[in-house]
Amino acid sequence: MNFPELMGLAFVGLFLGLMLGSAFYYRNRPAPFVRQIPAFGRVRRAIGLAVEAGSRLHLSLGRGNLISTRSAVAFVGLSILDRIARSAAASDRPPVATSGESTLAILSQDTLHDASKFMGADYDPLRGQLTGLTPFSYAAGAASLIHDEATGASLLLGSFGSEVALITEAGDRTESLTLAGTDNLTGQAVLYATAQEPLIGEETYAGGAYMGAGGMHQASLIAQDIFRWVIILALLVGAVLKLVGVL
Amino acid sequence: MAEINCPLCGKANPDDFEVCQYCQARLKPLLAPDSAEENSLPQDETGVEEPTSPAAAEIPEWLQELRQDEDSLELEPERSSDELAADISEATGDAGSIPTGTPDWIYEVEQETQRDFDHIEPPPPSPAEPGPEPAALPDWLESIRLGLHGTPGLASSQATEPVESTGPLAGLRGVLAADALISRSRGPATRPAKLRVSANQLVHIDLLRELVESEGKSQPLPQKPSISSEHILRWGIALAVCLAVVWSIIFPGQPAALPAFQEETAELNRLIEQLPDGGQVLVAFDYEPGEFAELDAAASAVIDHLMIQGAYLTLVSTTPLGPVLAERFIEELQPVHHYTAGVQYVNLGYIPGGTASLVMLTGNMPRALPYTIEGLAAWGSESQPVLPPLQGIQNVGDYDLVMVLVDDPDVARAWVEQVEPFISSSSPQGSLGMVISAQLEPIIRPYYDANPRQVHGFVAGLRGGASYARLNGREELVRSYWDSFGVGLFMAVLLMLVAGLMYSTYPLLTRPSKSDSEVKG
Amino acid sequence: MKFPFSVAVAIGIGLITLAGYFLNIPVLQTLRMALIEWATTLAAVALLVGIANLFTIHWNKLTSGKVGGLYSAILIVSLVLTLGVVGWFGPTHTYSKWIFNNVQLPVEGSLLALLAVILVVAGVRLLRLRSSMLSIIFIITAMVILLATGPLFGISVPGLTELRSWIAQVPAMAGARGLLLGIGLGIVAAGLRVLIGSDRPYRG
Repeated sequence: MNFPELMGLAFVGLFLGLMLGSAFYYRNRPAPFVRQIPAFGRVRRAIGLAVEAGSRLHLSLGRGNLISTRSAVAFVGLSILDRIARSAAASDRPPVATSGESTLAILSQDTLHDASKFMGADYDPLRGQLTGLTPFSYAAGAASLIHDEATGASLLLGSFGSEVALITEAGDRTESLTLAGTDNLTGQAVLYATAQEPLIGEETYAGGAYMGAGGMHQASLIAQDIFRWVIILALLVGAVLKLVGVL
Repeated sequence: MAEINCPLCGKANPDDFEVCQYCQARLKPLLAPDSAEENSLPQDETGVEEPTSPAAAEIPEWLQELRQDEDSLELEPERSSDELAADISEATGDAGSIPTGTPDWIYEVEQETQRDFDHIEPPPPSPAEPGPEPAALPDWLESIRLGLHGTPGLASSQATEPVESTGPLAGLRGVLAADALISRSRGPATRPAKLRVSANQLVHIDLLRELVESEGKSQPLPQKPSISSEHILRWGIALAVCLAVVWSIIFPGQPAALPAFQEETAELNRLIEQLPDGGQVLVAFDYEPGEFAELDAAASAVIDHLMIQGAYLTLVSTTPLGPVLAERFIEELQPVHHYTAGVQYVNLGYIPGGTASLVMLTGNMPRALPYTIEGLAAWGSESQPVLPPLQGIQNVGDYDLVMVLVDDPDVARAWVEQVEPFISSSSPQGSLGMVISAQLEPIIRPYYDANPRQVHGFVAGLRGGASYARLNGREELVRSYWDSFGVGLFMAVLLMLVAGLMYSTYPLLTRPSKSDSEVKG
Repeated sequence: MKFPFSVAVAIGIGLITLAGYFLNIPVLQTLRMALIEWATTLAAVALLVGIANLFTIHWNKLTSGKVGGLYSAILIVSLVLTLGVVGWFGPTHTYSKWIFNNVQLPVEGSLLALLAVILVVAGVRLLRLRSSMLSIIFIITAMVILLATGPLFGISVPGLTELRSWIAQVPAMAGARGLLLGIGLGIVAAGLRVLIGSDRPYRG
């Protein structure tokens, strides 16, 4: 095993240890303070409003292939879909999920089915839709769903490229709240200009912790924060060493 | 002119105004005309009702005070003025005088007892069960009864006292009515029906009533205008951009110079120039059909250069539509280079599993991609030799150059992080070049700037493609869209600047100033 | 605690794949490659399931008389026609290429053109929707990059190209790296949650 591989393994092991340690430590303690992300507060409010008003919630999971790095953000989207489906199970018009990737569509149906079963609500398999297999056809399909279903709020949490602007535009036209986060840098730049509530960088991955998806989400958030500071410190030290000519 | 203060904002208004001129609150209560006339009672400033019945005038001061206290606290079923007058006259002694020698308190107790007994009526005897016969009293008790009856002072009062009708004391008069006295209901006293309500409260009541009544009524939704300012903005921008681009195509002006090459572009050019004769190049068409315009334009000069060098091309893709895009691309260049499928190039099609399968290219390529897009056995069979572009190839490390045409940052990173280390370790001549969408430049550049390089040269977007074409001397390939591209970009900037400033400052200009609103207010 | 068989399988496969990436043990490497091959096969099958899902949704939309039924009908007819033509003649046949070149590409290209207009509209509206210093910097940066990317009627503005290069290579790249580091941490966290069975998108 060479040095980079050893470092990689150590990093993963440390990260896992921090996650499990945090989860164990906060098992019987109040949850740690996390900085406010107003977007998630608005989402919770939007869920309540949608249930009261009988409008549809829409969650789009992007087009991240499950056997690629893009699957991570899709898993976050699925966790939040589960929370939303349970919260809004009592609604006349339960949430609907769209995706641009086949395996994601299957998983979204599974998640919705599971949430409906748990809440004792009816399940309609058409609530988990594959709207297209190319980025633009997927975005066009999701946009038409927002328009047809007159959704009260749209959450876009997944892997999106610049085509996400078509979806946010549809949300804008129907005057519904659009919260969006992606792991794609181009998508983030587009969302900053077009979404009402854009999530920047790793904020998307914190969604589970903010939406109450479980203690492990909070634990992983703590691990992320600790490692972020470690990386910042390492970058600063590296820059200083480079400046003084050591590196 | 007399003024009236608004109950809501407190500001003075002329007394003939119905609603406040400042806050639009109702100044005068809404009252239905009939009930208002019937029930209108003159009120003093505090809202206390003035007595109207003649008998009320005779109410003593202490009773009036008591009435006022009760009125201000509780409700009471409405009683007629006659009843009130009767009560008052009874209380003031009009109904009878206090017998001489009897203390006031005894007299009052007697009166009250009498009234209580008046309410008690003997239950009617059941026909099936006749009431008990009067008991035969012993002599001594009878004498007491007679003696009591014969007492002068008690005679008058006893005459008015009720006779006990049930129980062992049946037939006796003047039995203390313990139950009546003790358990006399002090329940809801009769209260006046009229609330003491001020004008201010009436206004609020009216407002509340209006609100409650309006709740049940369906309000027509304000109709959205069929053409809003947002529509005009969108259509205006679309029209302006389209017109600018179409104009530049129909009426081309003086052609603008192609951009000067940059270091990374020159590096890619050098890599292709250094390819050996019959060099083998893996070309990945990893972009979506929507991005074909930019990527085709950026890559045309690069692929053209590869063909000029006579390289054997192996085409693959991690997107399902990539192989068709690759076929189309080669066809576009066919009139110039006459590349033949299965001879100069081979299309191995889609790599199932996408970027996750890239690692399979580092293993056994014949196993991962056994057939061409036409369904031929690419790596040879008993009846057919290995196709020329694939001769000597077992994995991605055997290629002289790997060229990736990509529009997705994750796919680009996957190629760099999963495939490039294998290329570098397999052959010192092996290189990874890229033609990327312009949006990927900040992501790919760090890999180019790294030491050692992980991307050995790249072309970014239309600008990079144009500079490569200039470097290669094949300007005609990009000339057709370079000028109109520039016009479109300029129009976009102009719109963002002018329309953006107007759009963002218009609400500020049209908003009423604070001083104006204060004057109006 | 309920610990279904599927969770154990998922965790086991995840650990083998991860260990195969870091540890150079032949058995692990072989297992890892075999598992990836299975995954790619499953992904290809999932593609077919997805197409079936797309068909079902639009068929139901069409038969239930919902809004947009006409579009669903067009989609179904196009899907069946394309499948028939490509399946019968092959993907490189003239008919298949005709469909791709004259239907798919123009539609997707038009959507990209629409996207360009939407992004210009977003740029125009940004300052009104989110008036902050960051938004102003965002707009100015976008303008500089756009102006320096195109030919600008042959006019050469001194320093513009250098400014574009500096923006692309210093602040943009620094920001991108920072974001990518954060995203990388998020990916590790999400992956580990799945690996230890905390997140179970596969249910079971």
